[in-house]
Amino acid sequence: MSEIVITRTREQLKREYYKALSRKLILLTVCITGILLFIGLFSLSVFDSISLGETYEIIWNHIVGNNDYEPRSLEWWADRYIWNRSIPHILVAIIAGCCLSICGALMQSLMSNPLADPYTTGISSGACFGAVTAIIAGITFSSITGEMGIVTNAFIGAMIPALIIILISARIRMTPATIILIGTGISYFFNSMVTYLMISTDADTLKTAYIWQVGSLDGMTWASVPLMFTVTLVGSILVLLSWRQLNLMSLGEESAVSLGLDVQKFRILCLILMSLMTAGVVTYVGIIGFVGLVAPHIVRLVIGGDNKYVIPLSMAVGTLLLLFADYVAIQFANLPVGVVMSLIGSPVFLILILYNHKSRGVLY
Amino acid sequence: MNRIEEAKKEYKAAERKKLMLILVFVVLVAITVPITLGFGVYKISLVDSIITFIQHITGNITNPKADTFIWNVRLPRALGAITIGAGLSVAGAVMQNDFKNPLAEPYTMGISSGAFFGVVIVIVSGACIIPGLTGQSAYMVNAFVFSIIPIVLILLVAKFRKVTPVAMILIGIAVMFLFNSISQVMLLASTAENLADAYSWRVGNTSRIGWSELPLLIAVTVVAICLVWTLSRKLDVMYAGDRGAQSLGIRPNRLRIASMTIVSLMTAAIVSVSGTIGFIGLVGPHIARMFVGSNNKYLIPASAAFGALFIAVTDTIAKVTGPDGLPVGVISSLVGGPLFVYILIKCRSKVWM
Amino acid sequence: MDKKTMTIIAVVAIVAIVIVAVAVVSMNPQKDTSKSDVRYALQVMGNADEDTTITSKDVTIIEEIIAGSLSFKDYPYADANNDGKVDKADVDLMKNIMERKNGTKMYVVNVDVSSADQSKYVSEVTYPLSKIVPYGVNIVEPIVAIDGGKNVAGYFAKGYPVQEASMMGEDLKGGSRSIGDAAWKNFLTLDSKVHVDAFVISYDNRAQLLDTYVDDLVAASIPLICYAAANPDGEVTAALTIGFLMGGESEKLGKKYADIYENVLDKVDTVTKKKAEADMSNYLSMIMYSSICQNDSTYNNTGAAAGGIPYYKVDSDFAQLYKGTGSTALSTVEGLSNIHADKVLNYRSIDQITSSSVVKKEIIETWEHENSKKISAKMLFEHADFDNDDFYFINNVLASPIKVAYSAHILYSDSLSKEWANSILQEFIDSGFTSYKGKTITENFITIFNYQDYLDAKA
Repeated sequence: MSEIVITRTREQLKREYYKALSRKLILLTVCITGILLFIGLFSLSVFDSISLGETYEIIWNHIVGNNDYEPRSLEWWADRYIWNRSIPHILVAIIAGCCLSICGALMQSLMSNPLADPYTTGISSGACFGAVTAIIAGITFSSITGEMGIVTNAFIGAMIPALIIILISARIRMTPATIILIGTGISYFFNSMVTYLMISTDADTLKTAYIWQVGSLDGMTWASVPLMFTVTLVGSILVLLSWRQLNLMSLGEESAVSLGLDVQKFRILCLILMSLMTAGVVTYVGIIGFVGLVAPHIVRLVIGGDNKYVIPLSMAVGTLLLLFADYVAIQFANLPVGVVMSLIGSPVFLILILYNHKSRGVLY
Repeated sequence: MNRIEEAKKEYKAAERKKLMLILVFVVLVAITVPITLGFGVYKISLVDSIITFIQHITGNITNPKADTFIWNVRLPRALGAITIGAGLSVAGAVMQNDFKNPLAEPYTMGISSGAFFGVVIVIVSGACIIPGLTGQSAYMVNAFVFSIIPIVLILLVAKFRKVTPVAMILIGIAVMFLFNSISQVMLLASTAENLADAYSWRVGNTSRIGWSELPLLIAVTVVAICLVWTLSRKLDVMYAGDRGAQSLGIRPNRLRIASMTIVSLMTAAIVSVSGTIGFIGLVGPHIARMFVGSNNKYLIPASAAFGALFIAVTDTIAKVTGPDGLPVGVISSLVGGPLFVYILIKCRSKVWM
Repeated sequence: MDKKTMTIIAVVAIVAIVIVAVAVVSMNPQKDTSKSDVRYALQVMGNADEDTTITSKDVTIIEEIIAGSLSFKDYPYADANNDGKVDKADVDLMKNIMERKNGTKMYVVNVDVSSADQSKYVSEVTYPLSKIVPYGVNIVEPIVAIDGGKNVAGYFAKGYPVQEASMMGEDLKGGSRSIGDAAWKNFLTLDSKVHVDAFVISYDNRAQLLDTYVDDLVAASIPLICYAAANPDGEVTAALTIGFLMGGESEKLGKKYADIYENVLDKVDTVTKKKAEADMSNYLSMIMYSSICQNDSTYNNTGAAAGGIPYYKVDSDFAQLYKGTGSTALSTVEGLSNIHADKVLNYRSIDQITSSSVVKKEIIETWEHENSKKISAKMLFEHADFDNDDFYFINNVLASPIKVAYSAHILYSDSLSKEWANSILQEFIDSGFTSYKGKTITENFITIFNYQDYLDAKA
């Protein structure tokens, strides 16, 4: 009988395990500290004529109720602006960052495809279609008009591709490739209608519709927060709880089935959940790309592919990324945040794939 | 008659059938071209337009206005449409073969975003790669030059290290993201009119094609298709597997890069003239495959013929939709999206999955 | 006295009484309480007869309503203090208004800013306005023309730097077609420094004023003034009303704006009244070199004011295809080949120029400008059926009365000469409108130009 040589002792294994675990904890701490610092130092300082210290004073006064400034003085406006606009703006940035990166990680695990992002199933084209119809043609699904009309339209539009995929999945077997292909077909259809609407209108309306599509955090108020927050909270908890099933999925379909997972059903459930989450964010904010694509990759680069940690850490990294892009967009570029995100995201993505490719030979 | 004879007969019959199908497509294209001359904003009946066409050839022009429209506007557009359809479809077939990926299409290499970036530069700053050029030629030259940047990048990288198919796609995607984001920044920083202009350029439009653009377009497309067709047997072998190809004496990476470069140059030429006409590059080969199978000897001509037919028909529809017609890119995607999904559902066994 | 004498005396007496009565009545004419029928009234509550001024006639009407001889329902603008009833308080307010007393609270009628329905809406304004923030190029132009530029505390964008050179105030760094959070923050900071006294917006830009911005304005009690300044009537209303609210030279210039417009409309009226239905000219509006304006586009209003008939009313196929309020970009040279309008009015905004040599370049560049679809106005014109004086570019930056005059000249060139249209522009220059003062027609303005002008410029 040949001996099985154990190359590492128990001690060595223990040390490696703790090292790996500490990497994850360090990443988590770095991210959370980064987020808090960022919000505290940068995101709150965007009202130019008010210093950071004064901003905190204003917030504190508002909380304790000590905020009767003289109307139309600088403090009065700043108090109004910070509470009605800045704080919801930051909250939306956090929620959107969490939601998009968690959906991105989920999508990449489900489709076993490192290039998947939350919009792969055509949700973005449906949402664009809804929003652009409201902006350009003034036609709304419900009878609500104006800004709320755009939001409701975008939400309903975002759910249409998800519904189509679910309906089709009831009839045929859905492999990841099938889902992606159907998503592509749906995207073609909706994108062509969006294009038709965009070229049939005048230049200024086209620019408004274009900016919506590119993704912008302008104009966020407290009214934008509830839907996004509930959907993201519930969705994130559900996804975090199913980390075991996601790990199984990444082993491949046959292995997962043989280990007792109903792959079809799980995939469809995840798709529904993800569609709701993404739709909730996209309806207010537009299509912000790269967060969902890049954040999980960064996380995997540092800590490997265990979904128990990848999912929550993706949320943290994604949020930090989006806060950073938002700050740059407001302070320096005066551009919508989606544009800044793609400017940052493209080189980051390039570096990621080069690095991954070189060191591991295979992406993922 | 023994079994071998029967098998041979069946095989030949199948081959003949494939040839017949290709011929049917070609005939349909030949019929569509004169029919499309009768469609457009200018009101003229189909019969009159054909008469005008014949009159021009015989030199006996009775209605100069109609003659201008039919001969200078509609005819080059029709010829351009079938050329573009054929070219994009063949490019898609070759890309799908090279990358063994059913989602590959001519624009996978970032060609359309490169072309768009070149056009944005002209629109926003008026600057062209060849200084002093203005107008339509500036758009085309810039579009072409910037659209071949990804290919040039890949060729450079290939010189120094081995480039796998996945790496090629990733480089293409990264370049596409980069160009898209810079284009966005430039457009959003300038006026709404420039944005509208750039957006409408991108949409995929055969209305820009006149007699001055046509010769080069046809030449490039025909040459590229013929070149690729002569490689069809090697491409078949490569598709069966890299190892198998190597053992049969073919260098798969070189073949891949060569075929990809040829079709990318053709696609770049097409995009710089017409913008991004989507869908036909992705779905044309799939549909052609349904009729003639995956053998490139038949698939490439079939893709070309079907692509030409599809774009010719959609262009005809596009010309009469709405007050001034629609760009053909919109119609092809509008029709193509549901068509594609339908094919996926119905014919999953025949379509590559 | 016998019967005959008595009859004669009676007849003479009756005749005498009748003559005296007629004399008495004709010497004291009936009080004039008719409402004016101009389309561009002074939109201040108290202007009971809805004409272009506030005079004692308005006070008379209010008093008559109080007395009961006239009905409030017929004169909604009689309620000068906007409290829902017409009483002595209105008369007292009218006294202050007519004295132009500083600090008077006036009530301004606007286009409804809260819904798509264009019914009226009233905002409270403190006279005189001296720190406004305007938004929307269509309302900035008239404000600048009536010397209102000095009363601007801040602006979002200068769309036409030469024409708008007199606009003072802080640059809030927005866009001419967008506000954005960054620009709004600048606006709030500005308000904390100077206490802006009105936010003036053009109705076609209403959608860019988000609900949260309106909430801020309401919380600070900043009145919102809104007019449909993309239409000639709306633009004149804006000039008239805002000029009145600013007082001084601006009020004079605002009234002059309305008077010149009235002259133009009257002249157009005399010409078109004589024309039979079939002789009326129809016109097609175009913008952005090669886009056709849809049926309900605001650009059609200038031609209509000039006495023309919009083309969609005479061609039902065209009306079917071009439904909407925006514009359709043409993509093939066949684009105009089916359109048989009498005239084409192509609107292009060109800032004031510094010398006549620039004019030629501008004309050539406008006619030859190729968009990314390879279509230029030149190509469209050459492939269509229009004569040289059927297709004109009109400079959209000019004030509406001037644009309407030039449009009327184009539409009815046999009755309304170019000299007449030039005289309207000259009147603007001579009357001292700020952006026009001291300029000359040939050296500083591009007004209208057709294909022949293009050929001449190329030569």
